[in-house]
Amino acid sequence: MQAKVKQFNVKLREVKKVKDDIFLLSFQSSHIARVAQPGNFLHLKLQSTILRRPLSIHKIENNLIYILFKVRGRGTKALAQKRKNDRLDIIGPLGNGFKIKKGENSILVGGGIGVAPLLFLAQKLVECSTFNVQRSTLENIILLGAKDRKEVVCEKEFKNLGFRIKVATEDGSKGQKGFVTDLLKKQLMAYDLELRTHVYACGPKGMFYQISKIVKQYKDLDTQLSFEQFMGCGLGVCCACVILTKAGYKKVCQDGPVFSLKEIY
Amino acid sequence: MNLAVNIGKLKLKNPIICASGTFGFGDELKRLVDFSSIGAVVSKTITAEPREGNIPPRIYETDCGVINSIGLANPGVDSFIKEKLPALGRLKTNHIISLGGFSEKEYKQLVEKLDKQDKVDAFELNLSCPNLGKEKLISQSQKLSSDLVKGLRKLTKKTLIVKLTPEVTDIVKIAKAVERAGADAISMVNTYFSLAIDIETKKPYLGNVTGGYSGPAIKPMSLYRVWKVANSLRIPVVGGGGITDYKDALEFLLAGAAAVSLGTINLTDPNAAKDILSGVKAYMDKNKMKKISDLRRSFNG
Ligand SMILES: Cc1cc2nc3c(=O)[nH]c(=O)nc-3n(C[C@H](O)[C@H](O)[C@H](O)COP(=O)(O)OP(=O)(O)OC[C@H]3O[C@@H](n4cnc5c(N)ncnc54)[C@H](O)[C@@H]3O)c2cc1C
Ligand SMILES: Cc1cc2nc3c(=O)[nH]c(=O)nc-3n(C[C@H](O)[C@H](O)[C@H](O)COP(=O)(O)O)c2cc1C
Ligand code: FES
Repeated sequence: MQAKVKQFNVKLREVKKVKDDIFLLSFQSSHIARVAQPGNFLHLKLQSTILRRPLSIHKIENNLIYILFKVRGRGTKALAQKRKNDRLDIIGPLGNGFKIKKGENSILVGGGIGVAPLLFLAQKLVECSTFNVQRSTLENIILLGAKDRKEVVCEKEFKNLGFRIKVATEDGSKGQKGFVTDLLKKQLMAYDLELRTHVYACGPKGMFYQISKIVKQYKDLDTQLSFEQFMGCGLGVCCACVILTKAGYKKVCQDGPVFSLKEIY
Repeated sequence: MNLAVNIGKLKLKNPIICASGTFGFGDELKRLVDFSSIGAVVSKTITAEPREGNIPPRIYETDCGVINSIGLANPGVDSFIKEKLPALGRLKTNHIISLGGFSEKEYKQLVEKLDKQDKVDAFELNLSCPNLGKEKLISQSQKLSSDLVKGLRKLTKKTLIVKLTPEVTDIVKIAKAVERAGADAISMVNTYFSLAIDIETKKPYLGNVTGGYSGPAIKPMSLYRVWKVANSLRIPVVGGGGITDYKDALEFLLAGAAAVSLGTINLTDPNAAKDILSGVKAYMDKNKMKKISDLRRSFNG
């Protein structure tokens, strides 16, 4: 377990509905703000469930920690019903996050609620590139994929960070009709690949598999993927959360949730 | 107030034990957890050879319990001795090492390799893991359990705790046989066989199909078995199964357990031992009890 991990009892500053079944909550924590890396997650204790639930850090602003989540089952439903000033028991920040590659084009790929950790990543990418002389030639892009327009969130936030945004919805109700991986394919073809590019993605497993097929033809392209698995402890002690990698089973809570694509596919 | 309890030769500063598989090998949680409230930690079960464990998903939550099928994932005894054991012994708790084998020979190997290690305070023989795809668990057979314990008893003077499955017709009979074979204590219960199916996909939720059931759901069944065994044996019983707060722990201690084990609750609250111990202390204070065994004596069953 990493030294930065602590248990907190925080007071919620806000819980608000963003759209349909997607909610945003925030609380203050200077410790998490100081030590968290993009891709890290928090393990939340909820009265309605036995085990904790893992949720990513969505963004950090002025010591305020944000979580963006979609209601799926018992736990997230109870979380959506929390109100301002309610207390929440959390453990974190947990896991190995995204490694930021400086001096490269960044393509972020978010499938559905998988966009959640990518905003914090975008914040850090922008922070890092302020010191980068090559800045002007580099591009930050976010590709957002969703079932329909109701699932497309955070466009404004990415825009404010200077990201180019492209959207694909399965039903065509917003952006291009189709999958986010179609956007990725096109984007990669458009690049002059002598300029190095890095892909960061979070979303469903099916999306990762499609990405793995697309990036295969680009030898120099590095891709990091943030995986999900059902967890027990979240602390690396119970071995519940493994996924199969080329080097055997690895723990999503400790070795991940972010893995290099080459480790998996 | 004296909270100390004896389990065989092992003296625990208090009766709260963190159960196997829910607390790592011993010291992983040291930055997050106050070990002064923990009487002993039982390591994740260690086997003779390294084990990758079962196909994921390995954990599923029901309304009131947790099904797991970890499959004894562990690095094997040699790697445990080299990489995990040196770190133990620095914390103010006792370390009980859980052993799992597929034959008598393997159990013997494990005991022989670990018996000379000072940092091993006691052994817990896991004769009850439901996640190995075996037809029968060792602790489902009186003869297999008894023969195994007899054989291992000759190899070590360290405290030998035997962990039983609740999945038998007559657990008292098995426990008595294990006592006669030379065990110093009984640990119970391990998880119950279980299954959960996703009706959308028509597939089991767990990669391994079946798993072991733990958590709040199993408490009444486990308490019943601990009560039966504790009142039929002379050796101490480490009792648990579904303990989530100090009241649950008190029920087990009233029913006759010499100490209690916390499993699933550690996954949610790594510091559960602390809250449970302070709740037990407050209760004993209120009831003017001076030692843990006063609880057992006060039961009006
Ligand atoms: C590292 C990490 C970061 C995450 N970050 C976010 C985030 O930022 N935002 C977000 O919205 N979500 C995030 N998730 C997903 C989130 O953790 C889940 O949506 C949440 O745990 C669901 O909990 P619940 O109690 O609401 O649903 P549950 O009651 O747990 O049910 C959810 C669904 O999963 C099924 N299910 C449960 N257990 C199993 C099993 N063992 N095998 C197969 N199916 C099962 C259920 O049947 C149900 O359909 C993250 C997950 C991980 C691992
Ligand atoms: C994730 C998990 C892993 C476990 N691994 C082991 C193990 O390796 N060896 C063992 O003897 N018991 C193991 N158990 C069983 C527990 O030690 C305990 O006996 C059981 O869960 C019942 O107690 P509880 O309801 O308090 O969890 C495991 C339980 C869980 C939930
Ligand atoms: S959830 Fe326990 S090891 Fe990852």
